Amino acid sequence: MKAIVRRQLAAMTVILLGVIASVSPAEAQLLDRIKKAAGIAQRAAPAIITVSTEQEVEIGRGIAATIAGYYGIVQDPELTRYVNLVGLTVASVDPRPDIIYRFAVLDTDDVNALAAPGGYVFVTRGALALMNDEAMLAGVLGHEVGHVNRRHVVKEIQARARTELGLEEITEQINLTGGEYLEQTIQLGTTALFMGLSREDELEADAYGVEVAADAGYDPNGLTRFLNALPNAEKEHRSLLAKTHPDIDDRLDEVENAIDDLKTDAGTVTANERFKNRGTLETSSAEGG
Amino acid sequence: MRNVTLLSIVPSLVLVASLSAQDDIASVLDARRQAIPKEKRVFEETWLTPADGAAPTAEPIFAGRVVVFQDRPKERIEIRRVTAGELEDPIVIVSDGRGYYLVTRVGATDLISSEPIGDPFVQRVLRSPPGTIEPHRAVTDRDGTTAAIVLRHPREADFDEDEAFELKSPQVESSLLKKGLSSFSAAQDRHVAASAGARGVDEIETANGKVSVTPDPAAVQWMEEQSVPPLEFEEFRIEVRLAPYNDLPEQQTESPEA
Repeated sequence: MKAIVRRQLAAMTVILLGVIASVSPAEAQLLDRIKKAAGIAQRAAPAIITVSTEQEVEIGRGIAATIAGYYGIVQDPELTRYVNLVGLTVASVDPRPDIIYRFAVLDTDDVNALAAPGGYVFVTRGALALMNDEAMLAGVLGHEVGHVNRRHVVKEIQARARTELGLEEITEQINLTGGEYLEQTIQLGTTALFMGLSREDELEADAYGVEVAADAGYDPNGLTRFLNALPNAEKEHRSLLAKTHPDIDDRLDEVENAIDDLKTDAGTVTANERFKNRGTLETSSAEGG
Repeated sequence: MRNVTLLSIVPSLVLVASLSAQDDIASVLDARRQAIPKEKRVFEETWLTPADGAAPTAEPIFAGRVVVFQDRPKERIEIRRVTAGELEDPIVIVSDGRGYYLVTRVGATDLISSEPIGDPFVQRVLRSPPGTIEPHRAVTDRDGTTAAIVLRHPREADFDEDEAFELKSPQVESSLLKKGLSSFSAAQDRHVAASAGARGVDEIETANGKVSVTPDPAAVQWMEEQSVPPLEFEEFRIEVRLAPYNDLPEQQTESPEA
């Protein structure tokens, strides 16, 4: 089937080259663009790497296990339930019906938040300690939900799999979760997360986080307040975040633009009292949660 | 003799009352069908009711969610209500433009002769205006008491008409209703086997250098077990007026249902 597609693309390219010789400059420019597109499609033809939702969840679960192994998870049911409630509130604005969103707190002073494919979302204890209200948490979790919904890590895996798993010459459908590939695919996704996603994807997730937090009814400035609070953390605790994300000023610009684009009836809820009661580890531990 | 006469009259009275109620519902459905707006659309309603025995100013509680798909003269109504603190399976009602049917996994039956039509909550939903209306309204019973507060939100009308209005092999629950409720509930959870993801030590590359990590699938399983009950999720949002409750007034105002 793919061979047929490639032959058709090659034939199209030959025809286009023939036509280009007898057309006006404007038409030639248009045909040149089509020719380039055909060339890209032809080059892309050999390695077809699709990732279904089931595969995405399986890969995401493996990545989540690595993240949990690296940092540890705070197994505090009350705090975890609260983080889930905030996370589900922002996710429910633009949910993917094919996945279940799950949220947990990572047991580290590092300031960070991470999202594995398939809906596994983490925020660190260090990040929670920088927050003063629920809108800040909503903004951060909204950013991570953006990575999940836009399948940013899946795209990274698809891009890296061809070269790093040596799939360039393989023409049949690749099952990335089949036997030998699963572990390598999980490693690719974990590396993508810990080395950093693309600048474009990070900024897109920032804008997305602002939008879903506001649509959920939260004050859209929560993410701005969190980004402004980052320098308050010890340098060693924010170094990974700094290395894997765009510069804070660039992020603040993106966030401000996203806020400017919001409808006038954007949310206003900060729920700082509720956050103080439920969103801090000390409180939930003291209550015996 | 007199007793026998009375006993023979009672079933007749019940029958008359039942027929009268059926006529009433039939006219409600007829009026509803005629009032469906021209444009294809979807809206979602969140129903809240006063807590039993609570003061009129007390916080209302989540009573159910309704999603309505319309493409005149056809209509699909999906109802999930709370009974005894639990969310029930959806009741799905479809109109093919001529009559209203209760749709189940096995097919469709005439709504008027079906069991759910006797449910006051279902009746209130069917009596609700199918056209454009304010984003929040109070539904009052005949004695003037507030029966429900309803919040209505438009949704994107990108549904498949054939699927939505199918009566022969119906889809019982649309993805929109799932999005609104059950995708977060434990009942819909798809647990992956605990052994999945059990691997040896990984060497992962980070922006701060390479580190060795032993994956912890048990921690992920713990994370998966921390599901949020749907009703708690609703209460959490009602408490500080997060969506869809941001239109809910702080003080209830009562006005008769149109």
